[in-house]
Amino acid sequence: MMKIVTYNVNGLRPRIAQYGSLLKLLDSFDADIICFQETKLRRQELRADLIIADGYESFVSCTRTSEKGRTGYSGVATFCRVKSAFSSNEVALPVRAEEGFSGLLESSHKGEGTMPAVAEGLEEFSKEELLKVDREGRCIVTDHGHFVLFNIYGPRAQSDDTERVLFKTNFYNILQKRWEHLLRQGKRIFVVGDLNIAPTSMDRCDAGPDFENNEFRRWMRSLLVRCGGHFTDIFRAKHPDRKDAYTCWSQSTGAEVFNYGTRIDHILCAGPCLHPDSNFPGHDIVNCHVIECDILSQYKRWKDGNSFRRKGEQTVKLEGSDHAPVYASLLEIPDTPQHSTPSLSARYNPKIHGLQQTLVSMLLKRQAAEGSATCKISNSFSRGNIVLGNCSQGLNGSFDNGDLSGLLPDESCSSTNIDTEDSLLKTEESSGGDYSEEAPCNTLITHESLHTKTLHENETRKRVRRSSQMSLKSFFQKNSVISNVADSSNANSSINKADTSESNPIEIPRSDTHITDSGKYFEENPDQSHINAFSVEREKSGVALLEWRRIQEVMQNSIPLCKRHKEPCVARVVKKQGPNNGRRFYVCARAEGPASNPEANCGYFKWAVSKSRHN
Amino acid sequence: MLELRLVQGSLLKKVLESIKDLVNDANFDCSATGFSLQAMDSSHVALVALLLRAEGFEHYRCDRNMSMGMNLNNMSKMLKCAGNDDIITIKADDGSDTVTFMFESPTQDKISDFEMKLMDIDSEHLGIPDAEYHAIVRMPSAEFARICKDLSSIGDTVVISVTKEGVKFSTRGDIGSANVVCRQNTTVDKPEEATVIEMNEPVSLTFALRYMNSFTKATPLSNTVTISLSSDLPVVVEYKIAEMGYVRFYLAPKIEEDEDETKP
Repeated sequence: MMKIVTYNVNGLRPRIAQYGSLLKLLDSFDADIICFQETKLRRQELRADLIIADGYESFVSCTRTSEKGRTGYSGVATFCRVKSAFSSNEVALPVRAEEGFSGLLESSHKGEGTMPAVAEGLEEFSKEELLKVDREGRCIVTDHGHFVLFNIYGPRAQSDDTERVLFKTNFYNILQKRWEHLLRQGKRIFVVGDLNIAPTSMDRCDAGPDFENNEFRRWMRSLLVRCGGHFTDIFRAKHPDRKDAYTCWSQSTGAEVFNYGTRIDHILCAGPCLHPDSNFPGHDIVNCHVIECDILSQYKRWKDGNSFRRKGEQTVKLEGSDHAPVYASLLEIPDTPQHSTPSLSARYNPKIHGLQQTLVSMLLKRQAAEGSATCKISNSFSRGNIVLGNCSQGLNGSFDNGDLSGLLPDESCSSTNIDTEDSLLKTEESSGGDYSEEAPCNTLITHESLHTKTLHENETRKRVRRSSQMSLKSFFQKNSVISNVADSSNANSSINKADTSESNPIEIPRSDTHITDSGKYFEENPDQSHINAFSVEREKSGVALLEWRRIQEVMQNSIPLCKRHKEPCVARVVKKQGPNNGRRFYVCARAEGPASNPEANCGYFKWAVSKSRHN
Repeated sequence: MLELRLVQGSLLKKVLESIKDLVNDANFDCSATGFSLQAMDSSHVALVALLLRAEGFEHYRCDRNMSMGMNLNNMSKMLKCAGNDDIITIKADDGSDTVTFMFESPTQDKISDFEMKLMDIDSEHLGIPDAEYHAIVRMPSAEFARICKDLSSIGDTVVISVTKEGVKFSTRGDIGSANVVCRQNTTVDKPEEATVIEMNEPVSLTFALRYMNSFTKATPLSNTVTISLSSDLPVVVEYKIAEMGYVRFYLAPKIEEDEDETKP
């Protein structure tokens, strides 16, 4: 059995970091041929640890263009798992390999065998046009004897970007000519990769009525057997009715939460089967050799059970690519005649292995070569190490001490904090109690309302604690138990100043605490002024608190609520060039999902109230 | 008619650099007493207050109160065109749609005019109250910036605890934890290197380092930073602008996670 995997890695470096090493990443697929797209590697950045793994032969194409915005974002790589790179008869080891598909890139010319480069019909394209489609590192072709494998990263083009649409059209037209040429020669073809085309409306979450009329979607369907073409979309052949099978989810909208994606990573194949009686009806490479094809959804970033992304909280960045890999497993592919690794293999690239070596490999080599001579060096090295070790120990010791002394005041700090909190709570209780007793005109009703309020606040407090979002609002909810009392007393004392009989009893318990508090205060600051100043201060901080609550309300209320969930929106800024560039707007904070799901983003949109003045 | 001439133009450049990452657009309010701004960040969590008093300008003319809405990113683009030694003059006519920034080189041999479109920004002026704080820490601003930057490589939040002995900044993250203690230290050669703690009550509050780090963008404005903390008020991080005013940042503390509740 043979397994082919295609995966838009969205940057090979982060994926390698995620898995620990390239080898671990590749091994996780347990596949014979692994095709990566969007490696985001530039040629000068190719290093052995990024593209060379034991047991795999690698073929890499990097972007060569220096156009603005097009450097270092594309790039494809094909990894072939082999037991031997020389005189092997394994199918996974290609007979020939080629960077790009126009046959014009220089790397495909040197070395022993170039593929039958030019296809019919390419005359209509200028050499410039041909070179242009190959300059962005979007294709590696490997000929495995029984079939030719195209690892493609298809260009993406906004429908209003005419230059890129033309590029995409040329890209696929030239590619198609190449395929037809190979098919006429009786070759079998596998096309794998991120084509950036979802062929039918079934392959897209939010397909509108015109979805299938797009020229590229029409083009892709025209390739398929059922529309008179040569190719089979293997995934659809195996799962003709499966809905919601997506391989790519928008990064910015949290689309993974509701599986709101698109299927643009494909494995297509064409050609006769390998059986001797391949001309019989019903015999072709898909029916005879492909057992399964599916999406490896375990590689999705989003795992069920992850918490919702909403309320504009800065959640932990999801690790992984925004695509999921697709695999196909093949059956009964016989061995090929003995052959060796094509010269395009990264192992022969002097830029990777020839120029830069790692320190470890250099030292190892040296050790082996110099033999006894290295003994001395390593001795002196180890002595140096010991000295260094001592030194760092000493440092550690002193740091430990520092930490301890740092910790001590902390403990005392937290304990005093508890004390003050306690006393505050007590004040609250006592003043609350006195309040209802001494101010009979307010009677039970206020008392009750106060109570329900505190209960309610406690509940919200619990909820607030779980969320990590800090806002002035949540902060004030926490303290409103205390501030409620402070408010009412403050309000009473300020509004009903004339009514001394009412304000006095409230003041009494509060001033009690002032005295104990200020007692402490005076010990520390003997030259500070008298008690009156302190109570004035208290009142001032109460007023400040009130003011801040008002500010808070204004701040919170100025964020619009989305229409379905009534949750605060998130603010974003227009990045697109145009008259609205830089303008701020608000959208529903939830992840995007199907419109039928009420939990998903409700599509709320509102401009922030700021716009350019007309001239 | 508005005409504000600022000899030390680099000051305005620094002010813009300090707030433009936090605030998208804002109204600059000009009155006879000074040039000020008050704005929230886009998530409405933090507040910025700026004041440049009239006395700090070489020439200050403001016939009547004006409010000019500006996109701070665009304003910063324009101010970046001014040299560090340039004299900057802000000019606007009453009811005009634009504001003009004039840059004069110190030798007066180059004068540039940059005209920027104004915006209509609907924002309510929030009267920020004066308050007494439990603890006020004054320390070298570069030190504070360094601490915030260092801690943010380890954790997302910083706990600022003030005791009589000093102020402690601590964080905790996946890779470990960190504590930085700055002791009260007034016996330094230069007053701006001192760490001064005025404390009425010990406080310990948690803040998002993301915001703290963006506050420290104001570090070039002042050698010292003043952090005022109270357990029931937003923290104030203030950078004084010599002889002119201040930039103040306000942020509510995060609620400390309750260990009992997070346990299953």
